[in-house]
Amino acid sequence: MLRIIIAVIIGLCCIESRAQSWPAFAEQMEFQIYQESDPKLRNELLLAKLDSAMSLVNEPVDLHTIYRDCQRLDRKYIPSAQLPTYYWNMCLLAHLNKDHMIAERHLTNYEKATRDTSCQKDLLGFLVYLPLDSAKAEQRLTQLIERDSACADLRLLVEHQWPKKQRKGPYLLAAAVLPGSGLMAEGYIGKGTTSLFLNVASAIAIAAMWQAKLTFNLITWGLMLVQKFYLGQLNLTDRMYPTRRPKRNAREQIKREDTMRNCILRYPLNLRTWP
Amino acid sequence: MIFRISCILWFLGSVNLSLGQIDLDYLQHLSSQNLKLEHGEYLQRLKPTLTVDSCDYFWSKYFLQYHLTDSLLSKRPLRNSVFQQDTMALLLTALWALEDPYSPREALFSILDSSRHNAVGRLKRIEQMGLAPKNFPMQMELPMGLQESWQELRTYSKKSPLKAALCSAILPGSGKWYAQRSNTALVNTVGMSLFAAQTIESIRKLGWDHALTIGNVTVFAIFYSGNIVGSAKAVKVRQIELRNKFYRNAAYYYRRHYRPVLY
Repeated sequence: MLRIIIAVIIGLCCIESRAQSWPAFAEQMEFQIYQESDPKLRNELLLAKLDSAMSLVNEPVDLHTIYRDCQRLDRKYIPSAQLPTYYWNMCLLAHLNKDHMIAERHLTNYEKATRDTSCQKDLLGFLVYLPLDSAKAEQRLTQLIERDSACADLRLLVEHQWPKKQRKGPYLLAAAVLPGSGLMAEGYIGKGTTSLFLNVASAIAIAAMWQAKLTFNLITWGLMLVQKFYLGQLNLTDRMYPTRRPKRNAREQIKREDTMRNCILRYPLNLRTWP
Repeated sequence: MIFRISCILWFLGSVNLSLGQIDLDYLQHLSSQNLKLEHGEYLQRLKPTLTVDSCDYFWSKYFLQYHLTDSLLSKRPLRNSVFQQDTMALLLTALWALEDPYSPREALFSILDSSRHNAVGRLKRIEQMGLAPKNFPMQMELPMGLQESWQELRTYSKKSPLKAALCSAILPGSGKWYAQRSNTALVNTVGMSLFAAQTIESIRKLGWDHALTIGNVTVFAIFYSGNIVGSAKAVKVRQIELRNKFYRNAAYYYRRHYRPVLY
Protein backbone atom coordinates (compact mmCIF):
# COMPACT_ATOMS: atom_id res chain seq x y z
CA MET A 1 0.00 0.00 0.00
CA LEU A 2 2.74 2.39 1.05
CA ARG A 3 4.66 1.58 -2.10
CA ILE A 4 1.69 2.36 -4.28
CA ILE A 5 1.21 5.69 -2.51
CA ILE A 6 4.88 6.50 -3.02
CA ALA A 7 4.73 5.53 -6.68
CA VAL A 8 1.62 7.56 -7.28
CA ILE A 9 3.04 10.62 -5.50
CA ILE A 10 6.29 10.45 -7.40
CA GLY A 11 4.45 9.85 -10.64
CA LEU A 12 2.14 12.79 -10.08
CA CYS A 13 4.99 15.08 -9.10
CA CYS A 14 6.93 14.09 -12.16
CA ILE A 15 4.01 14.56 -14.48
CA GLU A 16 3.24 17.89 -12.86
CA SER A 17 6.75 19.30 -13.00
CA ARG A 18 7.38 18.48 -16.65
CA ALA A 19 5.99 16.17 -19.24
CA GLN A 20 8.15 13.14 -18.64
CA SER A 21 9.07 10.05 -20.49
CA TRP A 22 9.91 6.73 -18.90
CA PRO A 23 13.69 7.40 -18.71
CA ALA A 24 13.07 10.62 -16.80
CA PHE A 25 10.66 8.89 -14.46
CA ALA A 26 13.06 5.98 -13.96
CA GLU A 27 15.84 8.40 -13.14
CA GLN A 28 13.69 10.18 -10.56
CA MET A 29 12.83 6.86 -8.99
CA GLU A 30 16.45 5.81 -9.03
CA PHE A 31 17.36 9.02 -7.21
CA GLN A 32 14.87 8.13 -4.49
CA ILE A 33 16.31 4.64 -4.27
CA TYR A 34 19.82 6.03 -4.03
CA GLN A 35 18.87 8.48 -1.29
CA GLU A 36 17.02 5.93 0.79
CA SER A 37 19.20 4.54 3.57
CA ASP A 38 16.71 2.00 4.92
CA PRO A 39 17.26 -1.17 2.83
CA LYS A 40 13.66 -2.26 3.32
CA LEU A 41 12.27 0.99 2.03
CA ARG A 42 14.84 0.99 -0.77
CA ASN A 43 13.55 -2.40 -1.79
CA GLU A 44 10.00 -1.10 -1.76
CA LEU A 45 10.98 1.82 -3.94
CA LEU A 46 12.65 -0.56 -6.34
CA LEU A 47 9.45 -2.61 -6.42
CA ALA A 48 7.49 0.57 -7.14
CA LYS A 49 9.89 1.37 -9.98
CA LEU A 50 9.38 -2.12 -11.36
CA ASP A 51 5.62 -1.85 -11.06
CA SER A 52 5.73 1.40 -13.01
CA ALA A 53 7.96 -0.12 -15.67
CA MET A 54 5.65 -3.11 -16.07
CA SER A 55 2.51 -1.02 -16.29
CA LEU A 56 3.75 1.13 -19.16
CA VAL A 57 1.76 0.42 -22.27
CA ASN A 58 2.47 3.23 -24.71
CA GLU A 59 6.20 3.22 -24.13
CA PRO A 60 7.14 -0.36 -23.16
CA VAL A 61 10.39 -0.72 -21.30
CA ASP A 62 12.78 -3.30 -22.65
CA LEU A 63 12.80 -6.58 -20.77
CA HIS A 64 16.51 -6.46 -20.07
CA THR A 65 16.08 -3.23 -18.07
CA ILE A 66 13.26 -4.73 -16.00
CA TYR A 67 15.29 -7.91 -15.48
CA ARG A 68 18.30 -5.89 -14.34
CA ASP A 69 16.21 -3.97 -11.80
CA CYS A 70 14.55 -7.18 -10.66
CA GLN A 71 17.97 -8.66 -9.98
CA ARG A 72 18.76 -5.72 -7.73
CA LEU A 73 15.90 -6.62 -5.39
CA ASP A 74 16.95 -8.00 -2.04
CA ARG A 75 14.82 -11.08 -1.47
CA LYS A 76 15.07 -10.93 2.31
CA TYR A 77 13.18 -7.63 2.39
CA ILE A 78 10.31 -8.87 0.25
CA PRO A 79 7.32 -9.86 2.41
CA SER A 80 6.61 -13.58 2.23
CA ALA A 81 3.19 -12.92 0.70
CA GLN A 82 4.89 -11.20 -2.24
CA LEU A 83 7.61 -13.78 -2.76
CA PRO A 84 5.61 -15.89 -5.26
CA THR A 85 5.17 -12.78 -7.44
CA TYR A 86 8.89 -12.09 -7.19
CA TYR A 87 9.76 -15.68 -8.17
CA TRP A 88 7.25 -15.67 -11.02
CA ASN A 89 8.55 -12.41 -12.46
CA MET A 90 12.18 -13.41 -12.05
CA CYS A 91 11.49 -16.77 -13.70
CA LEU A 92 9.68 -15.21 -16.63
CA LEU A 93 12.22 -12.42 -17.08
CA ALA A 94 15.17 -14.78 -16.81
CA HIS A 95 13.55 -17.07 -19.37
CA LEU A 96 12.92 -14.19 -21.77
CA ASN A 97 16.50 -13.00 -21.29
CA LYS A 98 17.69 -16.55 -22.03
CA ASP A 99 19.13 -16.94 -18.53
CA HIS A 100 17.84 -20.51 -18.35
CA MET A 101 19.51 -21.70 -15.15
CA ILE A 102 18.28 -18.67 -13.18
CA ALA A 103 14.80 -19.21 -14.64
CA GLU A 104 14.83 -22.82 -13.46
CA ARG A 105 15.96 -21.82 -9.96
CA HIS A 106 13.18 -19.29 -9.60
CA LEU A 107 10.60 -21.68 -11.00
CA THR A 108 11.58 -24.22 -8.34
CA ASN A 109 11.31 -21.51 -5.66
CA TYR A 110 7.94 -20.44 -7.05
CA GLU A 111 6.64 -23.98 -6.90
CA LYS A 112 7.84 -24.33 -3.32
CA ALA A 113 6.30 -21.03 -2.29
CA THR A 114 2.89 -21.53 -3.86
CA ARG A 115 0.44 -24.25 -4.77
CA ASP A 116 -0.25 -22.81 -8.16
CA THR A 117 -1.87 -25.41 -10.36
CA SER A 118 -2.72 -23.09 -13.21
CA CYS A 119 -2.05 -23.84 -16.83
CA GLN A 120 0.12 -20.70 -16.99
CA LYS A 121 2.50 -22.22 -14.46
CA ASP A 122 2.71 -25.48 -16.40
CA LEU A 123 3.25 -23.58 -19.62
CA LEU A 124 6.04 -21.49 -18.06
CA GLY A 125 7.55 -24.65 -16.55
CA PHE A 126 7.47 -26.29 -19.97
CA LEU A 127 9.16 -23.31 -21.60
CA VAL A 128 11.79 -23.06 -18.86
CA TYR A 129 12.69 -26.75 -19.04
CA LEU A 130 12.51 -26.96 -22.83
CA PRO A 131 16.13 -25.89 -23.44
CA LEU A 132 17.39 -27.62 -20.27
CA ASP A 133 15.83 -31.03 -19.77
CA SER A 134 13.69 -32.89 -22.29
CA ALA A 135 12.22 -35.28 -19.68
CA LYS A 136 11.06 -32.48 -17.39
CA ALA A 137 9.73 -30.49 -20.35
CA GLU A 138 7.80 -33.59 -21.47
CA GLN A 139 6.44 -34.05 -17.95
CA ARG A 140 5.18 -30.45 -17.83
CA LEU A 141 3.69 -30.83 -21.25
CA THR A 142 1.85 -34.00 -20.24
CA GLN A 143 0.35 -32.13 -17.28
CA LEU A 144 -0.69 -29.33 -19.58
CA ILE A 145 -2.22 -31.67 -22.15
CA GLU A 146 -4.21 -33.46 -19.44
CA ARG A 147 -5.99 -30.18 -18.79
CA ASP A 148 -6.11 -28.87 -22.30
CA SER A 149 -5.64 -31.21 -25.21
CA ALA A 150 -5.20 -28.24 -27.56
CA CYS A 151 -1.70 -27.88 -26.16
CA ALA A 152 -0.67 -31.24 -27.62
CA ASP A 153 0.82 -29.45 -30.59
CA LEU A 154 3.50 -28.09 -28.28
CA ARG A 155 5.15 -31.49 -28.61
CA LEU A 156 6.50 -30.14 -31.90
CA LEU A 157 8.71 -27.81 -29.88
CA VAL A 158 10.14 -30.70 -27.87
CA GLU A 159 10.80 -32.68 -31.05
CA HIS A 160 12.51 -29.67 -32.56
CA GLN A 161 14.59 -28.87 -29.46
CA TRP A 162 15.47 -32.48 -28.67
CA PRO A 163 15.44 -34.34 -31.97
CA LYS A 164 15.38 -38.09 -31.63
CA LYS A 165 18.63 -39.83 -32.43
CA GLN A 166 18.63 -40.14 -36.17
CA ARG A 167 19.49 -43.31 -37.96
CA LYS A 168 21.91 -42.00 -40.50
CA GLY A 169 23.71 -45.35 -40.83
CA PRO A 170 21.79 -46.78 -43.83
CA TYR A 171 22.15 -43.51 -45.78
CA LEU A 172 25.88 -43.31 -45.08
CA LEU A 173 26.33 -46.99 -46.00
CA ALA A 174 24.49 -46.43 -49.28
CA ALA A 175 26.63 -43.36 -49.97
CA ALA A 176 29.81 -45.35 -49.27
CA VAL A 177 28.82 -48.20 -51.62
CA LEU A 178 27.35 -46.09 -54.42
CA PRO A 179 28.35 -42.41 -54.23
CA GLY A 180 25.36 -40.06 -54.39
CA SER A 181 22.79 -42.73 -53.48
CA GLY A 182 22.67 -41.56 -49.85
CA LEU A 183 21.79 -38.05 -50.95
CA MET A 184 19.20 -39.38 -53.38
CA ALA A 185 17.62 -41.47 -50.63
CA GLU A 186 17.45 -38.36 -48.45
CA GLY A 187 15.44 -36.64 -51.16
CA TYR A 188 18.19 -34.59 -52.81
CA ILE A 189 17.91 -36.12 -56.26
CA GLY A 190 19.80 -33.36 -58.09
CA LYS A 191 22.69 -33.30 -55.64
CA GLY A 192 22.87 -37.12 -55.59
CA THR A 193 22.93 -37.40 -59.39
CA THR A 194 25.64 -34.73 -59.69
CA SER A 195 27.71 -36.47 -57.04
CA LEU A 196 27.33 -39.83 -58.80
CA PHE A 197 28.36 -38.31 -62.12
CA LEU A 198 31.43 -36.57 -60.62
CA ASN A 199 32.54 -39.74 -58.82
CA VAL A 200 32.16 -41.86 -61.96
CA ALA A 201 34.10 -39.28 -63.99
CA SER A 202 36.83 -39.25 -61.31
CA ALA A 203 37.03 -43.04 -61.33
CA ILE A 204 37.35 -43.08 -65.15
CA ALA A 205 40.08 -40.41 -65.04
CA ILE A 206 42.01 -42.32 -62.35
CA ALA A 207 41.67 -45.58 -64.33
CA ALA A 208 42.96 -43.79 -67.43
CA MET A 209 45.99 -42.54 -65.49
CA TRP A 210 46.60 -46.08 -64.20
CA GLN A 211 46.59 -47.42 -67.75
CA ALA A 212 48.93 -44.64 -68.90
CA LYS A 213 51.23 -45.45 -65.94
CA LEU A 214 51.16 -41.86 -64.70
CA THR A 215 52.00 -42.79 -61.09
CA PHE A 216 52.35 -39.30 -59.57
CA ASN A 217 49.29 -38.03 -61.41
CA LEU A 218 47.40 -41.05 -60.16
CA ILE A 219 48.39 -40.39 -56.56
CA THR A 220 47.84 -36.63 -56.59
CA TRP A 221 44.64 -36.49 -58.63
CA GLY A 222 43.40 -39.63 -56.92
CA LEU A 223 43.87 -38.08 -53.47
CA MET A 224 42.32 -34.79 -54.57
CA LEU A 225 39.31 -36.28 -56.30
CA VAL A 226 38.64 -38.88 -53.63
CA GLN A 227 38.84 -36.22 -50.94
CA LYS A 228 36.74 -33.71 -52.82
CA PHE A 229 34.02 -35.85 -54.35
CA TYR A 230 33.87 -39.21 -52.54
CA LEU A 231 34.53 -38.03 -48.97
CA GLY A 232 32.70 -34.81 -49.77
CA GLN A 233 29.48 -36.59 -50.67
CA LEU A 234 29.74 -38.77 -47.54
CA ASN A 235 30.11 -35.64 -45.46
CA LEU A 236 27.23 -33.99 -47.29
CA THR A 237 25.00 -37.02 -46.74
CA ASP A 238 25.75 -36.80 -43.03
CA ARG A 239 25.24 -33.03 -42.89
CA MET A 240 22.09 -32.80 -44.98
CA TYR A 241 20.21 -35.46 -43.04
CA PRO A 242 18.68 -33.28 -40.31
CA THR A 243 17.81 -30.50 -42.76
CA ARG A 244 16.27 -32.69 -45.43
CA ARG A 245 13.00 -31.66 -46.96
CA PRO A 246 13.57 -27.93 -46.39
CA LYS A 247 10.06 -27.02 -47.54
CA ARG A 248 8.60 -29.29 -44.91
CA ASN A 249 10.94 -27.76 -42.32
CA ALA A 250 9.72 -24.25 -43.17
CA ARG A 251 6.13 -25.44 -42.84
CA GLU A 252 6.96 -27.02 -39.49
CA GLN A 253 8.58 -23.81 -38.32
CA ILE A 254 5.41 -21.86 -39.14
CA LYS A 255 3.32 -24.50 -37.43
CA ARG A 256 5.53 -24.34 -34.31
CA GLU A 257 5.20 -20.57 -34.16
CA ASP A 258 1.41 -20.78 -34.60
CA THR A 259 1.14 -23.38 -31.86
CA MET A 260 3.19 -21.25 -29.50
CA ARG A 261 1.16 -18.14 -30.32
CA ASN A 262 -2.13 -19.96 -29.72
CA CYS A 263 -0.96 -21.30 -26.38
CA ILE A 264 0.31 -17.91 -25.22
CA LEU A 265 -2.98 -16.30 -26.28
CA ARG A 266 -4.89 -18.97 -24.42
CA TYR A 267 -2.71 -18.81 -21.31
CA PRO A 268 -0.97 -15.40 -21.29
CA LEU A 269 2.30 -15.27 -19.39
CA ASN A 270 2.31 -11.79 -17.88
CA LEU A 271 4.61 -10.11 -15.45
CA ARG A 272 2.72 -9.69 -12.22
CA THR A 273 2.50 -6.46 -10.28
CA TRP A 274 3.21 -6.71 -6.58
CA PRO A 275 0.10 -6.88 -4.43
CA MET B 1 3.02 5.47 7.64
CA ILE B 2 2.69 9.25 7.83
CA PHE B 3 6.36 9.49 8.73
CA ARG B 4 7.35 7.47 5.65
CA ILE B 5 5.19 9.50 3.33
CA SER B 6 6.70 12.66 4.83
CA CYS B 7 10.14 11.21 4.19
CA ILE B 8 9.26 10.57 0.57
CA LEU B 9 7.89 14.06 0.13
CA TRP B 10 11.06 15.42 1.67
CA PHE B 11 13.08 13.33 -0.79
CA LEU B 12 11.02 14.71 -3.64
CA GLY B 13 11.75 18.21 -2.47
CA SER B 14 15.41 17.45 -2.23
CA VAL B 15 15.39 16.19 -5.82
CA ASN B 16 14.14 19.51 -7.04
CA LEU B 17 16.55 21.43 -4.81
CA SER B 18 19.54 19.41 -5.96
CA LEU B 19 18.62 19.77 -9.62
CA GLY B 20 21.13 22.52 -10.11
CA GLN B 21 24.03 20.65 -8.50
CA ILE B 22 25.79 17.55 -9.69
CA ASP B 23 25.78 14.75 -7.16
CA LEU B 24 28.96 12.78 -7.71
CA ASP B 25 27.97 10.05 -5.27
CA TYR B 26 24.77 9.56 -7.17
CA LEU B 27 26.68 9.46 -10.43
CA GLN B 28 28.96 6.85 -8.91
CA HIS B 29 25.90 4.85 -7.89
CA LEU B 30 24.47 5.02 -11.43
CA SER B 31 27.82 4.08 -12.92
CA SER B 32 28.54 1.20 -10.56
CA GLN B 33 25.05 -0.27 -11.08
CA ASN B 34 25.44 0.09 -14.86
CA LEU B 35 22.16 2.00 -15.06
CA LYS B 36 22.76 3.28 -18.55
CA LEU B 37 19.28 4.69 -19.08
CA GLU B 38 19.09 6.53 -15.76
CA HIS B 39 22.70 7.66 -16.02
CA GLY B 40 22.07 9.24 -19.43
CA GLU B 41 18.86 10.82 -18.23
CA TYR B 42 20.56 12.33 -15.18
CA LEU B 43 23.22 13.90 -17.38
CA GLN B 44 20.48 15.17 -19.69
CA ARG B 45 18.73 16.71 -16.69
CA LEU B 46 21.92 18.44 -15.60
CA LYS B 47 22.71 19.80 -19.03
CA PRO B 48 21.23 23.34 -18.54
CA THR B 49 23.02 23.80 -15.24
CA LEU B 50 26.53 22.81 -16.34
CA THR B 51 29.18 24.59 -18.34
CA VAL B 52 29.90 23.20 -21.78
CA ASP B 53 33.22 21.77 -20.61
CA SER B 54 31.73 20.05 -17.57
CA CYS B 55 28.83 18.74 -19.58
CA ASP B 56 31.14 17.32 -22.25
CA TYR B 57 33.34 15.87 -19.52
CA PHE B 58 30.51 13.91 -17.90
CA TRP B 59 29.14 12.82 -21.25
CA SER B 60 32.63 11.67 -22.31
CA LYS B 61 32.87 9.55 -19.19
CA TYR B 62 29.42 8.15 -19.87
CA PHE B 63 30.41 7.18 -23.43
CA LEU B 64 33.65 5.78 -22.10
CA GLN B 65 31.85 3.55 -19.63
CA TYR B 66 29.46 2.16 -22.22
CA HIS B 67 32.13 1.96 -24.94
CA LEU B 68 30.35 4.27 -27.38
CA THR B 69 33.37 5.23 -29.48
CA ASP B 70 31.82 7.60 -32.00
CA SER B 71 29.89 9.52 -29.37
CA LEU B 72 33.01 9.76 -27.20
CA LEU B 73 35.09 11.14 -30.02
CA SER B 74 32.35 13.60 -30.98
CA LYS B 75 32.72 15.23 -27.55
CA ARG B 76 36.35 16.08 -28.46
CA PRO B 77 37.83 14.96 -25.12
CA LEU B 78 41.31 16.03 -26.30
CA ARG B 79 40.21 19.67 -26.07
CA ASN B 80 38.36 19.20 -22.81
CA SER B 81 40.63 20.45 -20.04
CA VAL B 82 38.57 18.74 -17.32
CA PHE B 83 38.73 15.37 -19.04
CA GLN B 84 42.45 15.80 -19.65
CA GLN B 85 43.01 16.25 -15.92
CA ASP B 86 41.08 13.11 -15.00
CA THR B 87 43.83 10.50 -14.94
CA MET B 88 41.47 7.64 -14.23
CA ALA B 89 39.32 8.43 -17.26
CA LEU B 90 42.41 8.69 -19.43
CA LEU B 91 43.74 5.41 -18.06
CA LEU B 92 40.43 3.70 -18.76
CA THR B 93 40.45 5.06 -22.31
CA ALA B 94 43.92 3.64 -22.86
CA LEU B 95 43.03 0.28 -21.29
CA TRP B 96 39.92 0.01 -23.44
CA ALA B 97 42.00 0.70 -26.56
CA LEU B 98 44.55 -1.93 -25.56
CA GLU B 99 42.05 -4.59 -24.55
CA ASP B 100 39.67 -4.36 -27.45
CA PRO B 101 41.32 -5.27 -30.77
CA TYR B 102 38.32 -3.91 -32.67
CA SER B 103 38.36 -0.49 -31.00
CA PRO B 104 39.75 2.47 -33.00
CA ARG B 105 43.07 2.40 -31.13
CA GLU B 106 44.66 5.28 -32.94
CA ALA B 107 41.71 7.60 -32.33
CA LEU B 108 41.43 6.59 -28.68
CA PHE B 109 45.14 7.07 -28.03
CA SER B 110 44.99 10.46 -29.72
CA ILE B 111 42.79 11.56 -26.77
CA LEU B 112 45.76 10.98 -24.47
CA ASP B 113 48.19 13.08 -26.48
CA SER B 114 48.36 16.06 -24.16
CA SER B 115 48.40 14.08 -20.91
CA ARG B 116 51.68 14.10 -19.02
CA HIS B 117 50.71 11.76 -16.25
CA ASN B 118 53.20 8.95 -15.66
CA ALA B 119 50.67 6.13 -15.75
CA VAL B 120 49.11 7.39 -18.97
CA GLY B 121 52.61 7.87 -20.39
CA ARG B 122 53.41 4.22 -19.67
CA LEU B 123 50.37 3.04 -21.55
CA LYS B 124 51.14 5.36 -24.44
CA ARG B 125 54.62 3.85 -24.59
CA ILE B 126 53.10 0.34 -24.57
CA GLU B 127 51.03 1.33 -27.61
CA GLN B 128 54.13 2.69 -29.35
CA MET B 129 56.05 -0.50 -28.53
CA GLY B 130 53.31 -2.56 -30.12
CA LEU B 131 53.17 -0.39 -33.22
CA ALA B 132 56.93 -0.24 -33.85
CA PRO B 133 58.70 -2.89 -31.78
CA LYS B 134 61.93 -2.44 -33.71
CA ASN B 135 62.36 1.07 -32.27
CA PHE B 136 62.63 -0.29 -28.76
CA PRO B 137 65.40 -2.49 -27.29
CA MET B 138 64.79 -6.16 -26.56
CA GLN B 139 65.68 -5.80 -22.89
CA MET B 140 63.39 -3.22 -21.33
CA GLU B 141 62.28 -2.49 -17.83
CA LEU B 142 58.87 -4.04 -17.98
CA PRO B 143 56.77 -5.80 -15.35
CA MET B 144 57.36 -9.56 -15.14
CA GLY B 145 54.04 -10.44 -16.72
CA LEU B 146 54.88 -8.42 -19.81
CA GLN B 147 58.50 -9.42 -20.41
CA GLU B 148 57.72 -12.70 -22.14
CA SER B 149 55.11 -11.35 -24.55
CA TRP B 150 57.29 -8.31 -25.31
CA GLN B 151 60.32 -10.46 -26.17
CA GLU B 152 58.15 -12.70 -28.31
CA LEU B 153 56.77 -9.68 -30.18
CA ARG B 154 60.18 -8.02 -30.47
CA THR B 155 61.81 -11.21 -31.81
CA TYR B 156 59.05 -11.79 -34.31
CA SER B 157 59.09 -8.16 -35.48
CA LYS B 158 62.42 -8.90 -37.20
CA LYS B 159 60.61 -11.18 -39.61
CA SER B 160 59.62 -9.69 -42.91
CA PRO B 161 56.68 -10.73 -45.09
CA LEU B 162 58.88 -10.16 -48.14
CA LYS B 163 61.46 -12.65 -46.87
CA ALA B 164 58.70 -15.19 -46.23
CA ALA B 165 57.46 -14.72 -49.80
CA LEU B 166 60.99 -15.14 -51.17
CA CYS B 167 61.57 -18.29 -49.13
CA SER B 168 58.31 -19.74 -50.46
CA ALA B 169 59.30 -18.85 -54.03
CA ILE B 170 62.61 -20.70 -53.66
CA LEU B 171 61.32 -23.70 -51.72
CA PRO B 172 57.53 -23.97 -51.33
CA GLY B 173 56.62 -24.38 -47.66
CA SER B 174 59.80 -22.77 -46.33
CA GLY B 175 58.02 -19.41 -46.09
CA LYS B 176 55.50 -20.92 -43.70
CA TRP B 177 58.38 -22.43 -41.76
CA TYR B 178 59.93 -18.96 -41.56
CA ALA B 179 56.54 -17.63 -40.33
CA GLN B 180 56.67 -20.30 -37.58
CA ARG B 181 53.77 -22.28 -38.97
CA SER B 182 55.55 -25.64 -39.02
CA ASN B 183 52.53 -27.89 -39.57
CA THR B 184 51.31 -25.91 -42.56
CA ALA B 185 54.88 -25.76 -43.84
CA LEU B 186 55.14 -29.56 -43.89
CA VAL B 187 51.79 -29.96 -45.67
CA ASN B 188 52.77 -27.31 -48.21
CA THR B 189 56.16 -28.87 -48.95
CA VAL B 190 54.72 -32.36 -49.45
CA GLY B 191 51.74 -31.08 -51.45
CA MET B 192 53.82 -28.88 -53.73
CA SER B 193 56.37 -31.66 -54.28
CA LEU B 194 53.57 -33.96 -55.42
CA PHE B 195 52.16 -31.29 -57.74
CA ALA B 196 55.62 -30.70 -59.18
CA ALA B 197 56.20 -34.42 -59.65
CA GLN B 198 52.87 -34.97 -61.42
CA THR B 199 53.50 -31.96 -63.68
CA ILE B 200 56.98 -33.16 -64.66
CA GLU B 201 55.67 -36.67 -65.20
CA SER B 202 52.89 -35.54 -67.50
CA ILE B 203 55.25 -33.24 -69.45
CA ARG B 204 57.68 -36.14 -70.00
CA LYS B 205 55.11 -38.79 -70.86
CA LEU B 206 52.37 -36.81 -72.61
CA GLY B 207 54.10 -33.69 -73.88
CA TRP B 208 53.38 -29.97 -73.35
CA ASP B 209 50.29 -29.83 -75.54
CA HIS B 210 48.32 -32.56 -73.76
CA ALA B 211 45.22 -31.39 -71.83
CA LEU B 212 46.34 -33.13 -68.63
CA THR B 213 49.73 -31.38 -68.78
CA ILE B 214 48.08 -28.00 -69.28
CA GLY B 215 45.75 -28.74 -66.36
CA ASN B 216 48.66 -29.85 -64.17
CA VAL B 217 50.74 -26.77 -64.99
CA THR B 218 47.77 -24.52 -64.23
CA VAL B 219 47.07 -26.22 -60.91
CA PHE B 220 50.75 -26.08 -59.98
CA ALA B 221 50.97 -22.36 -60.86
CA ILE B 222 47.87 -21.53 -58.81
CA PHE B 223 49.08 -23.42 -55.73
CA TYR B 224 52.64 -22.13 -56.09
CA SER B 225 51.62 -18.45 -56.24
CA GLY B 226 49.01 -18.99 -53.52
CA ASN B 227 51.72 -20.43 -51.31
CA ILE B 228 53.91 -17.34 -51.80
CA VAL B 229 51.10 -14.93 -50.97
CA GLY B 230 49.98 -17.11 -48.05
CA SER B 231 53.46 -17.10 -46.50
CA ALA B 232 53.71 -13.31 -46.60
CA LYS B 233 50.23 -13.04 -45.11
CA ALA B 234 51.08 -15.55 -42.37
CA VAL B 235 53.91 -13.32 -41.12
CA LYS B 236 51.64 -10.26 -41.03
CA VAL B 237 48.84 -12.13 -39.26
CA ARG B 238 51.25 -13.54 -36.67
CA GLN B 239 52.64 -10.07 -36.01
CA ILE B 240 49.14 -8.72 -35.36
CA GLU B 241 48.36 -11.69 -33.12
CA LEU B 242 51.49 -11.12 -31.04
CA ARG B 243 50.83 -7.38 -30.81
CA ASN B 244 47.30 -7.98 -29.57
CA LYS B 245 48.60 -10.51 -27.07
CA PHE B 246 51.14 -7.98 -25.79
CA TYR B 247 48.45 -5.28 -25.50
CA ARG B 248 46.07 -7.66 -23.74
CA ASN B 249 48.71 -8.67 -21.21
CA ALA B 250 49.65 -5.03 -20.66
CA ALA B 251 46.01 -4.04 -20.14
CA TYR B 252 45.51 -6.93 -17.74
CA TYR B 253 48.61 -5.98 -15.74
CA TYR B 254 47.92 -2.24 -15.57
CA ARG B 255 44.25 -2.71 -14.76
CA ARG B 256 45.25 -4.77 -11.73
CA HIS B 257 48.06 -2.40 -10.87
CA TYR B 258 46.18 0.95 -11.03
CA ARG B 259 42.64 -0.35 -10.40
CA PRO B 260 41.09 2.62 -12.24
CA VAL B 261 37.49 3.59 -11.56
CA LEU B 262 35.46 6.21 -13.36
CA TYR B 263 33.88 7.86 -10.31
